[in-house]
Amino acid sequence: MIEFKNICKSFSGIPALSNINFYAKSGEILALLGQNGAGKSTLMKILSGAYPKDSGEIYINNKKVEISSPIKAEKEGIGIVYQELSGIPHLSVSDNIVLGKDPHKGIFLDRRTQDNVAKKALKNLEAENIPLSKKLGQLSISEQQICEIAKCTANNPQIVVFDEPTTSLTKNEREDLFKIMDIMRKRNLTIIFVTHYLEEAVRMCDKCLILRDGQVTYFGTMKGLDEKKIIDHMIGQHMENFFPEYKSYTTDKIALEVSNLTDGDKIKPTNLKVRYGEVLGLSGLIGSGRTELAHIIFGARKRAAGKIFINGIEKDIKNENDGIRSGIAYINEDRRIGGLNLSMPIDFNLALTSLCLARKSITGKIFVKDKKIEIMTQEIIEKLSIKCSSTKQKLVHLSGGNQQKVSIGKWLVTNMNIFIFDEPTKGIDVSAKAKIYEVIRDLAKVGCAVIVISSYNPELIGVCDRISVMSKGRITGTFDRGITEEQLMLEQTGIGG
Amino acid sequence: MLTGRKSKIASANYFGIFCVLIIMCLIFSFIANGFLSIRNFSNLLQQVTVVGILSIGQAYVIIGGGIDLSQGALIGLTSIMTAILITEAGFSIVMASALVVLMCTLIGILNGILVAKLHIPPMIATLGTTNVFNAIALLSCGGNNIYSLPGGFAEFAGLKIFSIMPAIAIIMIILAITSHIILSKTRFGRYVYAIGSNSIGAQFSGVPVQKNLIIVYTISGFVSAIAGLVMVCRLNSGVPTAGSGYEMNSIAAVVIGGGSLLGGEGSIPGAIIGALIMSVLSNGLQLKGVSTYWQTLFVGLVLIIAVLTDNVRRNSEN
Repeated sequence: MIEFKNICKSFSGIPALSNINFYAKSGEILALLGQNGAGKSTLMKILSGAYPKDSGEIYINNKKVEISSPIKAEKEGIGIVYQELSGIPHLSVSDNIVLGKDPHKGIFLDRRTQDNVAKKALKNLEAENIPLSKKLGQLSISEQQICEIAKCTANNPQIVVFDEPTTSLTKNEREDLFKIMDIMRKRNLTIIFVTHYLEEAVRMCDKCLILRDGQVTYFGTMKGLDEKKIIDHMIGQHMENFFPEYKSYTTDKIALEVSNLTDGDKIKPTNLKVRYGEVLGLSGLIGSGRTELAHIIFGARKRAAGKIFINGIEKDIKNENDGIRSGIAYINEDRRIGGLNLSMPIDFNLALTSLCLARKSITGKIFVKDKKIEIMTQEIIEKLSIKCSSTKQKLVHLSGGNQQKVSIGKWLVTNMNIFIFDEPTKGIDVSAKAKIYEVIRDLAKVGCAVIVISSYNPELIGVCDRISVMSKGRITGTFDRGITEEQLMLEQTGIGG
Repeated sequence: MLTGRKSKIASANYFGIFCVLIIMCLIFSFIANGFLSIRNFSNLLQQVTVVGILSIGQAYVIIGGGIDLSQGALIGLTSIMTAILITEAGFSIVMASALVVLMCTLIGILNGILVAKLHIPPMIATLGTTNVFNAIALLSCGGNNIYSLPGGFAEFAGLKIFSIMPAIAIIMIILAITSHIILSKTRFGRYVYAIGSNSIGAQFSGVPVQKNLIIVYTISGFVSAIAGLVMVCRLNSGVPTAGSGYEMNSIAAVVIGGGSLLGGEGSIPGAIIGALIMSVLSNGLQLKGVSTYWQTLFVGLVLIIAVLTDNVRRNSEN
């Protein structure tokens, strides 16, 4: 069992956590909830030894402990499973599980002990079926995640923190993960589960700790809480609805049409139409080809055959630059890699694509108009309520939600006609999500055609006018607004026919 | 957390290093006889020119996330080719210079294509071209230096404006100012930073990554030729190995000036200040009578300390 008593932490005088009190017993799962910036990660960093606490006490099994470093945290029995898979794909399962503490005899590795350790760790997770000698990269995502957990539990921790483990998982993969968590609960581990998905927290957790602005707004059993109540605690006010009130802006004019589009590989010949003023959802499991389809349209993936029409005119889109010049904006699923220049400031990022398009409002023939960029940046910061210290702040210092707003903002200023959002709300907090839904509906309102790719069905149902479901590289069905979550899920898994 | 608006100069990442340069100059003014003199100032500018010019080209490449090891080889090639063109082929100084500049620019394009189109890691690609053009330089003259150059080069090397400012330093200054404006005020400049900080992100943002990367290496090739010609002026001869090791100095200059080998960071003023720091250090120590071996040691230390302090600054930012 773990207990925090009056934990405080501040950065340069500004409190990040004040008087945090909570406990979790063995065999319990504690949900740690809160918006981005509420103090979740600071709390986790204190627990993992990355930050020292200012004051307060931490007890493990009623014994006071000082967690002064990550190594100390591990010694005290704290293990952490991170959001991103961090295993090394070229190494074997057993290599990965013991990585960093490889058993050895003298200067040589002790393979037998290593395999025994790995085997035991997997067995404890009831996953003996994963072959020890197989390379990690050849396993499914679920299996890789199990190995990641096994790596953590091989050290026999008493407390295991799951830091947003489900963000990039599909529905089935999540179910697999929850099974493992259940097994760990039965083995009397204390689990702290950090997540943005409230329904998961409600379903899986025994206790719940909700933070807001560095303070505990709720600590107690999960019983009696539902998503709405949790959100109330998280945002401090009653949020009736995430989604803007629905009104159809769909026109008759077709903005984007693709016919028999294929990459000759993952995407089978596909047809699709989006009208101006319409928001089309692309639903489907991860690996169903949604992102690949978007990439072909945008020019980021090779097109083997098929045609793309914009405003009824065929366009030969060969690369991203062609896509952009045809009026398509693509907000990448992975903003860190495929969207933003994190080491650069906000204004730089917001202006980049407009500069590529040589937009006269911010650049002359030769020189960039820095003052105009400054004004434009301030407008976007205000419009999207981006929290930052100045227009020159580097993106690495912004929270995920604010980064995402920048990655959307850079396309808003380009005045594109067609927007493709790929997982626009992945890993961001509730209020940033609500803002992004508003932006999407507003785009439709001003007459843009929008495609939204998402693994999160409620948001597709909330913002889209139509939803197409993809499965194994094909669009298997298209539904008008009004489809329920259950119907959508059945369709995705192929049961719906 | 936020301490008000810093002035633009103070927030530039080369401000700290500029202070270091000033402090070094002050110290040498006191301890080294003859450091603080017009004659020495002019010497110093002459000394810094080659590395200074190279560091301008290197800055483009490093900011763009790459590295160009072929600069030193190109200096040697320029040096020997100019001499051969003049002494053996009978070209005029201007014609020969123009031809070698063209040649190095083309080699820059080749580097760019190897890196951008054929996706060879920049260090390997330019290491390869380094060896190839080193060999060509040596082969073309049988490994011997060529001394009998017309007087024009030496005259130009000695030419001083108002008897202070060496003409060759003015070339560096002009290149530096133009490059600073290009990198900070033009779209191409933004693209270079964007590619260096995240080339995939830049691609998705519509930046023509390949094309701009090729331009970056082309500039480095072009600039190396200019540095090579300056070298010809200073040595008044064609020496195939004249540039050996210079690429390391230009990389050091850019890094001391705030550049990051991870790309996306660095600046021309920083690079020039970096080159000056190294020159001032050698020059000051030389005046103190310290042997060149020790000078090399100090330059090495400065490089390491500069990067360490930069890391500390970055960590404190987070």
